Amino acid sequence: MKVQIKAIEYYLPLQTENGETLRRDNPAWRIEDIEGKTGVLVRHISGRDQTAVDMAGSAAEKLFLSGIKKEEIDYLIFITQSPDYVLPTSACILQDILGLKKSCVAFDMNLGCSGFIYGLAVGGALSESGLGKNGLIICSETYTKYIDKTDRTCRPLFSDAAAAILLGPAASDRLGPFEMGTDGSGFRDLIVPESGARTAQDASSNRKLFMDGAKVFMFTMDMVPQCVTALLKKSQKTIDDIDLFVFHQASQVVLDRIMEKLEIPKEKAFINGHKVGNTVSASIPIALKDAADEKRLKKDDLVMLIGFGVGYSWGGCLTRWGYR
Amino acid sequence: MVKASEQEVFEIIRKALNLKEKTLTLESSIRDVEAWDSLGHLGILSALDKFFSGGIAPIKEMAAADSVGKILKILKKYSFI
Repeated sequence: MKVQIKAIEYYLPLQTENGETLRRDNPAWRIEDIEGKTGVLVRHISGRDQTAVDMAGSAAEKLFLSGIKKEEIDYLIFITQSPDYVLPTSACILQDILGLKKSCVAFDMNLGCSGFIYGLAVGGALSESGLGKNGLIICSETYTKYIDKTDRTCRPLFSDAAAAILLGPAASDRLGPFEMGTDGSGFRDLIVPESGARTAQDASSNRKLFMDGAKVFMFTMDMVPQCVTALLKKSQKTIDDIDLFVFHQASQVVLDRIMEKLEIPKEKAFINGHKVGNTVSASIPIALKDAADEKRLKKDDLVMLIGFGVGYSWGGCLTRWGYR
Repeated sequence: MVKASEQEVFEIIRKALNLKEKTLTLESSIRDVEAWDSLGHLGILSALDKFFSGGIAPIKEMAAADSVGKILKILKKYSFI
């Protein structure tokens, strides 16, 4: 696609938790073992009254401060699984908060760790087709609101964050190809069971995240290498041709095994999960921004992005880095 | 196809759990080995997949194999032992 990522900004809530926080709440947990497996040292926690829409607004306003004009935004794709309301669509609320024009197309995308790739695919198609020119893709999650303090599987991993990306036309092909897929047979393995119309709601509903870590891990070990291999084949590239791999920052044990299986040298992959945690759909754009800031990315580098998780859902794409 | 002996599988599990002594038995499980918690289990699955050159990942039932005996049973079923 003749489309490119033109700018990225992100927002992290001010409140943080670390191993000491976990130890204080759960004295029996072996924190060193947990940190060794997850790779996560710090997690950001949204405030009691702070929502995904609030954080999305903060990330987007950073973009506008850098000189991007609101009247030039033709579409807004809001990727979240922690919307402010079941309805209306959070993207509509965000359109108003951000003061985007009324001709702006705005819709939510309910996907987790694969969400950014799907957002790029749909946003890229909008820009390429002429239905819109410039658009915002905003990934924002407050998973920590779904997690109990004693949940040893989820609490050490997940972190709240929002990332805002400007997508727009390019003079040459800079986005794609894409490789995406779905296996809904795993939907029960990562789920907030009492959250939608399937479960009758009442005031005492317990909306807590459940993750079968072993099953999700088996899915990633099996499917992510297949996705990477298929994308390399589709694009007629090899691992040597890729300047940087940016995977969804699932956890250290997952990323280590994926890179080991694919024989990707460590210096070819960017990892920042240790300082931001697993921020679900926001993790890839946050990693891209950090990689650029740390000079790990330079203009025209070929980058492979791979997202995978809840659903199960996965997606990958190539992009030519377009700025700085 | 990479194959292993039962003794080698015991060693893979022991190393994945960072156990210094050979204390594992067929009955050892996630319920009675302190280091074998949910994260330790991921370490075992990762180590087995590495040893068997990626052959473990497609076997979904391995996720629920939470004792040495159950792991060996599945590995035998798929002819890894």
